[in-house]
Amino acid sequence: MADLAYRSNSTGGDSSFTTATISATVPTGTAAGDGMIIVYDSAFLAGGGAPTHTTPSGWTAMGTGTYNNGVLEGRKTFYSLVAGTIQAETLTSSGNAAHVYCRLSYQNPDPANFASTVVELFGLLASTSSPVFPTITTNSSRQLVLYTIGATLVGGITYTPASSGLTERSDANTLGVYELQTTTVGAQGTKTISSSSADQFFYGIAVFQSNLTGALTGVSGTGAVGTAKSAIDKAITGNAGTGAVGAVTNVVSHALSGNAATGAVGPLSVDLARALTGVAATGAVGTLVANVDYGLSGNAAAGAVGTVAQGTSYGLTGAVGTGAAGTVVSNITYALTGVSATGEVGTLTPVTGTTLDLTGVQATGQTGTTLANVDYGLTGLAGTGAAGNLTASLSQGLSGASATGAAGSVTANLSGALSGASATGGVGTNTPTISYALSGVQATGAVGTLTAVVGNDITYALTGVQAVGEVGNVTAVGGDAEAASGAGRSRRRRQRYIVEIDEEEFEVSGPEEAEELLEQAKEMARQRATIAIERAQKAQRKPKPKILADAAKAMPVPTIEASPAIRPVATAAIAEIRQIYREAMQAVEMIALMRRADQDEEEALLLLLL
Amino acid sequence: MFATEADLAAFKAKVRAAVLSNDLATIGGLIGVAPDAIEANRDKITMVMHKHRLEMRDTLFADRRAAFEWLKTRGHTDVRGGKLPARLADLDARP
Repeated sequence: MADLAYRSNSTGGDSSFTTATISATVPTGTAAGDGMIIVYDSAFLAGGGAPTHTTPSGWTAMGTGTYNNGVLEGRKTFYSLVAGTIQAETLTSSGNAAHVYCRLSYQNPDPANFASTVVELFGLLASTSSPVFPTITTNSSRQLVLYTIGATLVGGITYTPASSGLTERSDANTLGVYELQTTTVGAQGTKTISSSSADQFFYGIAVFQSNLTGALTGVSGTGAVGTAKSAIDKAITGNAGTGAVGAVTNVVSHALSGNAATGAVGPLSVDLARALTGVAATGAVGTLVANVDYGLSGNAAAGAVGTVAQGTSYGLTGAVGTGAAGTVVSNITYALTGVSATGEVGTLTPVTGTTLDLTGVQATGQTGTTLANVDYGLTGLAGTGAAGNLTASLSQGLSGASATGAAGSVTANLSGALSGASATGGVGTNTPTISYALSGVQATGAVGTLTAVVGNDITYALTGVQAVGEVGNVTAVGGDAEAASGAGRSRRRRQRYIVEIDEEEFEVSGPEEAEELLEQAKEMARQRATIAIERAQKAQRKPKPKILADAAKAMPVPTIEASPAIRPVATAAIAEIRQIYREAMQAVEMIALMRRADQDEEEALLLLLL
Repeated sequence: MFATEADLAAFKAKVRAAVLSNDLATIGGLIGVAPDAIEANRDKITMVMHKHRLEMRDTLFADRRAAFEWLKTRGHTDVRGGKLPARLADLDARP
C-alpha cells in the first residue's frame, strides 16, 4: 500500500491534419497492475465543432472538455486503465485533425477506483505567459492530481512549473503534464505554470486514486486528552485501558489460561515436569515435603504430632499414634496400614527404603514433620495452618494450582496463546506491538498515551478511534483527518468582498460566491448574444452596417470591479464576456455574408476592407 | 498542439491559401469532413470559410499600421487617407 509512484511516459503529436488517429505507445517499463493514463488532445480548424473522441477498448473515459479560440476548436480527454492489456492504443478523433497525447504509467493504483470520483476540470485561459490552473477539490488524502496544459495558438511552447508541489512529467509537443501528490483533503489551491511564450492555453485537471487511501472515519476528540496517535496498518480490536494501571506486558507465544492472583501471596513457584494436582496449603504449616518416587497418598498432619516413622520396606497402612505419642516405628518389611498417632505427636516418618505404597498414614495434633521418602505418585497432599513453603519438585502437568492471600507475583514462563489477560487499576501504558486493524480503541479518564505502533504508514480503515476528556491533539498519520472539536478553535475575522457590476455593488462571501455572481453575468451576456443573433437572422431587409450597429448596441460589455482578493476572477469574467460578444458579432456578420454568397468573393472582401 | 513554430506557420498558410482560393475540400478536411462528404457539407464549410475570412480581416485591422508599412514595402503607393487598398489576396504574401 503506497502512494501512486510515477514510472514513465510516452508522448506524440501530429499537426498535419491528414489523419484521424494517432498511436499512443506503451511507456517504458510499464508492468502488469500499473495504473495507466492517457491525456489526448485533438483539434479541427475552428468553425465546424470540436472533434469527438473514440474510447480505446477496455479503457475508461474520464472527463472531456472542449474549446474554441477562433482558430482551433479542440477537445481534451482523460483515459485511464488498470490491469488491462498493455499495448499501444489507437487514439481516434471524428475526422482528420491535429493530435497530441501523453501516456503515463503509475505504480500502486487503486485497482477499483484509479479514476477518482472528483470531477475533472477543463478551461481555456486568456492569453498569458503564466497560466494559472484553478483549484480542484480532492475527496481523499493521498491522491494524485494531474494537471495538463496545451498551447492553442503558438507553436513550440515549453513550460516550467512555478508553484511548489508540482512535478513535471512531460513537456512535449506544447503539451505539459504536471502532477501533485496530495497530503490533504479538499481544495488544493491554484497552481501556476511559467510558459516560454504567451498563448491561450487549454487546461485539464484530473484526480487519480492510489491504493493508499483507506478511509478514516468517526475520529473525534472531546475534552482533555494528551495525544491519540494512529500510525498503524491494520485492525487492532478490543483493547481497553481503564483507571490506573501499571503495566500490562504480553511477551508470550501460546495459551496461558485461567491464571489468577488475588490478595497477598508469597511466592508460588512451579518448576516441574509432571502432573501435580490438588495441592493446597491453608493456614500455618511448617513444611510439607514430598520426596518420593512412588505413590504417597492420604498423608495428613493435624494438631501436635511428634513423629510417625515408617521404616518399612512395603506397604505401611493404618499406623496410628493418639495422645502424647512418643514414636511409632514400623520396622517391618511389608505393608503397614492404619498406622496413626493422636495427640502429641513427635514425628511420623516413613523411613523406608521402600519401593511400594504407603497409605493411610496420619498424624493428628501438633505436627512436626511428615516425610514421605518414597518414589511414586504424590496426590492429595494437604497442610492446614500457616504455610511456609509448598514445594513440588515434580516434573509434569500442573493444573489448578492456586494460592490465596496477598500475592507477590505470578510468573508464567510458558510459551502459548494469551487470552483474556486483563489488569484493573491505574493504567500506565498499554502497548500492543502488533500490526493489524485497530478499531474501537478507547481511553477513558486520565490517559497517558495510547499508542499503536505498527509497521507501515496507514493503509486501511481506522474506525471508531475516540478519546474522551480534554483534548490536546488527535493526530491521524496518513489518514483522512476529520474535524476535531473542542478547545482551541480560533475565531477568524470575516473578510468583506465586493463585486461591482455596472456600478451596482454586490457583497459576496468569497471567491466562490463571486464566481457564481459573475457566472450569472456571463449567462446574461450569452442570452443577449443569442437574442442579437436571432434579430440579425430576422432582419432580412436591413443593410449590413445597420445590422452590425444594432447588434453592437444590444451587447454592451459591462464594467466589472472587484475587491483585490477576487479581482482575477472578475478580470477573467470580463474577458469571457468580451469573447462571447465578439463571437456573436462574427456570427451576425456571417449571417449577412451568407446572404451574399453568390457575389464575387474578391469584391465582397474589398468592401469589407475599405 | 503545434510542436514547432514551423508547424503552426504551415497550418496557417494552409488555411489562408484555402480561404483565398475558396478551396472547400481543404477547409472541409481541416474541420474533419471526409473527402466524400464535402458536397453534403457545403453550407457548413462555406460558413467556416467566411468565419476565417473575418478572422483574417480582423487581424489585419488590429495591426493596421503594420499593414500600411508592409504594403509600402510591396510598392503600394496609394496608401493614403487611412485606407487600405489591399485586396485580400495581398494578405497571402504577408510574412
